Amino acid sequence: MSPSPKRPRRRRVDAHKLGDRLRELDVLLVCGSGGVGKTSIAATIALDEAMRGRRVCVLTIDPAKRLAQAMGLDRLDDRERKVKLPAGAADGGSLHGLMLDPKTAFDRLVAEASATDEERERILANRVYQQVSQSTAGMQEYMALERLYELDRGGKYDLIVVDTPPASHARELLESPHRMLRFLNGRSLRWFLKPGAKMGKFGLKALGGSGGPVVGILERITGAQMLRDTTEFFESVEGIIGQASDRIKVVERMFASPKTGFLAVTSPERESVEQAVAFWELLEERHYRFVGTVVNRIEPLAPGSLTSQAELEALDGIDTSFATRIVAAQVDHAELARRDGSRLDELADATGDALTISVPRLPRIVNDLDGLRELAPFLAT
Amino acid sequence: MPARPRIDDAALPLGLQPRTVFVTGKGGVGKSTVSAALALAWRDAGARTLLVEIEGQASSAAMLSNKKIGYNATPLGEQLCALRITLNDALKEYARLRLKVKLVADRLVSNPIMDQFAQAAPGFRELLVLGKLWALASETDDRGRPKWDAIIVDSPATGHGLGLLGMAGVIARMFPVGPIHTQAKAVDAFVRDPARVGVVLVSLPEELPVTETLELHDELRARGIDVVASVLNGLLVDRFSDAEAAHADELIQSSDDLDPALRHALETVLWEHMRCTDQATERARLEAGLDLPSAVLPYMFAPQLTREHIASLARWFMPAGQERLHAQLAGADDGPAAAAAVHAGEAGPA
Repeated sequence: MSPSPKRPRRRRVDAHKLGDRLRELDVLLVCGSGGVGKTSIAATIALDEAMRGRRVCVLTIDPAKRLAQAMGLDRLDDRERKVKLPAGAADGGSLHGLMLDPKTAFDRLVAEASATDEERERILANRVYQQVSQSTAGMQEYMALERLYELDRGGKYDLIVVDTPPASHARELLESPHRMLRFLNGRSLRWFLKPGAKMGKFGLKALGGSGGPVVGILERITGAQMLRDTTEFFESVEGIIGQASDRIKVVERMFASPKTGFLAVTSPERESVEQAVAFWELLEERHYRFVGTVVNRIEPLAPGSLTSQAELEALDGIDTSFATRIVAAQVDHAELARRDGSRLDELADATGDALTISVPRLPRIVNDLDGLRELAPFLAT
Repeated sequence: MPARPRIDDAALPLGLQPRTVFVTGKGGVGKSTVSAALALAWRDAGARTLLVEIEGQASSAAMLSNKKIGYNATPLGEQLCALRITLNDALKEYARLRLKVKLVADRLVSNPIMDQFAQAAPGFRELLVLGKLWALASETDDRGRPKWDAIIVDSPATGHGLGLLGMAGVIARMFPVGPIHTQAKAVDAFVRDPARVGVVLVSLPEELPVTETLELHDELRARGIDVVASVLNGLLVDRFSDAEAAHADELIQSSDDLDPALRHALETVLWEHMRCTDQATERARLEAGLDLPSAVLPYMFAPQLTREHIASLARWFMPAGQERLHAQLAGADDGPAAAAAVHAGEAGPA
């Protein structure tokens, strides 16, 4: 495949506008697939806003160990930890970090929604609960939102930045409250699995009538115990469904608030950019506030034209072999830069008035506060 | 039926006899790329090869062919097929197997209760996927020999991959009796049979992916799952020596009115050299932490990976390609010039 021959028409540099938009928000959800540098971008924004005098909390789920240490989050204990700001911070600014433990958050939801200690203990002890509270799709995403809601309600912060779990699709984050509801509310399933409804061997007659026969057949492929345990689980959460549903709906409403914004982080890879566009469309459809896309680790374009071999050889101490290799490297990088440039244009064109911000590839991996400070100018918050 | 070609041991990627491998690693490390290249390399060594993708994941077969991949094995070329496991089809197949009456099974599967159950019942979905893989690995041809020598499973990233691989064992312990127990126990025995199944860990020469790979390796071992090899993807081979990089730096520092394009060219030298130094550190950390056959694959300077790139990576996977790359990384005599040839030749080693 040859690179597009035309140079990018225009390069939107929207970074200067990001700060303005951030200052209108209470909550920023930073979304993107794994490996695109989402945690670094979320932390950079949080640190920079704190340096400008806002009280900021950054909520993360699985940061780089050294980044966590730099931020004082060496323990996964689900508590807010104060991060020492570098010199030069504006008055009033503060930064807290919190490393989320999804299991703890789910247990807390159960505890809050349970009417009695006994009810709570029964749910927490259920084997199916123990399994699903960690493995069901969308659970981590929902728990991050749950924790976010608690923090937001606490009123201690001007801005909460959420480094969302590395789901394969940002859609999972948006749908997680709904999935959670659907999961707890498995009404038809609960009804059919009620102990009253006979789970005997009905065989195949009358399939399509009441639930009994279906359960009978289900039992033949899964076994009685799996059915029984699942039934028991739904029985045990029955009592908390009302409370929990209300709570989940409140959490879901947070998405629609004009003070909640979404920021997508992508790499310049095609799949990643396409995901960002799909995410923008999804948010438009729901009238949620899409702040923009940060395209991370783009290849910087060479200024002007590429250097010729002769120009290089004219420099002191550069022989033909060295010059040939420099030209080859520059050509290789230029091809990537052209690709990244046209991806940025495509993205900017496809996402309406949302911001498109590019962050160049840095020679080193960002994993401490200094690295975050290096990234900050590109975000120009 | 054509005579079955012999597997050429000397051409095996990673020196690894074909089997069922789960290819996993951190998000964004190139699991699908490596899966596709490994499938080609094994096929080229003479193995009858099946590339498997799982619903909800990126398609690795799309890197080899435009063909639409479904639940049945689709031929992509000589001795190479691909298949996509969709949960609904896996459920239907499993229900048919248990109930023996196709119509009832199909009705059950389309029943909303079943859907709810499959969503809520812990690990049921994972068990279906593993069960299908077990069935594929046990398939025989008309002469009773295994149908596939190599099955490459483009697997979910770290956390979900671990969840998938360990799930049969979890379910077998959770439900000590009944048909689910029987199924889960058999599937778990398959997953943990080192003669049949292994994990290939894919990483990038960067801090986080390497750390995650080392942790994943330990967790898999702790669950009794055999890790057979690691693949370090996206490696830059240094086109510049220390002295050359130092000289480029000096030229940048010493002249104020350097032409911007020239400056950019010299900065490219610095960038690549620095990057290579960092990568070498991470590669050393990975190799010190894992006592496994490991392959390195060169970074492809390309706007988008094409089939030619995958074919090139498959050739780098072969023993001759690995020997050349490792020699290069260890500081071969021909040094930077040969390194430049690695990145210049999109065709890979001859």
